[in-house]
Amino acid sequence: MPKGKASKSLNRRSRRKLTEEQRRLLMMEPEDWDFSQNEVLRKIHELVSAWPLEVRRQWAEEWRKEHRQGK
Amino acid sequence: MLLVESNFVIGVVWEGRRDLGYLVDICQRFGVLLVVPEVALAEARKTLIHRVDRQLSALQQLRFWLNDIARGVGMSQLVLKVKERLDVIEAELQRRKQLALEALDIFAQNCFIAPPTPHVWVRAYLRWQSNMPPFKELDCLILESLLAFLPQHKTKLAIFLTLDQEDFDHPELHADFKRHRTSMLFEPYAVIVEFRKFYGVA
Repeated sequence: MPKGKASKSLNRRSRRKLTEEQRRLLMMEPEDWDFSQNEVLRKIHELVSAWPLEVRRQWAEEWRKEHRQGK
Repeated sequence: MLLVESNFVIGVVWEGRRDLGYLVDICQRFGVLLVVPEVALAEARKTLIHRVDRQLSALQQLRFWLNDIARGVGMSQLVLKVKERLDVIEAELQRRKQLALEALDIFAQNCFIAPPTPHVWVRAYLRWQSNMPPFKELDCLILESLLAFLPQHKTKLAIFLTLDQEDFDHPELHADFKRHRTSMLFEPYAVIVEFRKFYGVA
């Protein structure tokens, strides 16, 4: 068997060695995922919660508009 | 390896976008390197605190006019009461500003930072001056930071996710990334699909 072919199949096999938790996460739809599932992101979310989400999104949209008009 | 820019940082930290948070979670749990140019972090930091700084500046203006009003007969006590409330608002705004910066710092600590080296600055400046895509000065810096980072950190899978398709979707830039075996994608879901393919769960 050519050397290249063997290493390719080995790579494929090693890629598939996922834990059940990893597999579940990867197959999940993003809208089913929640910030509470990740400690770091949960903390970030808490820190910015002093502003309501709609307000933050509006500010971000204004920034994007400025960015589009910028040089 | 997943390379991102300012929109991603703001999307995760500030806008609480689930699709982007999900990608961060995948990166952490699969040991995928999440790479952010330092310039993009600085831009996100500026964006987050800019609004609060404007509010603080407005408070200062208000104080100036209150001092003027206080010069009127019988006004000083009234103004003093208002100023005490303004002090409370200012302290609260400062506290919230610190919280927003802390959130950004936590995000940065969980990423790999692509630094703007002198070489990157020069190349970005030349690109910007030569009117080459992505045309805007900051975008040129982001791009050159990533292009300088890629040859030093080779991985089996490298994706640049930008939500700024308008500025980055140029054939020259696709070719630049392709030279480093990196694909440039514009949709978070397209990245998820690539991850699934890579890990064989498509």
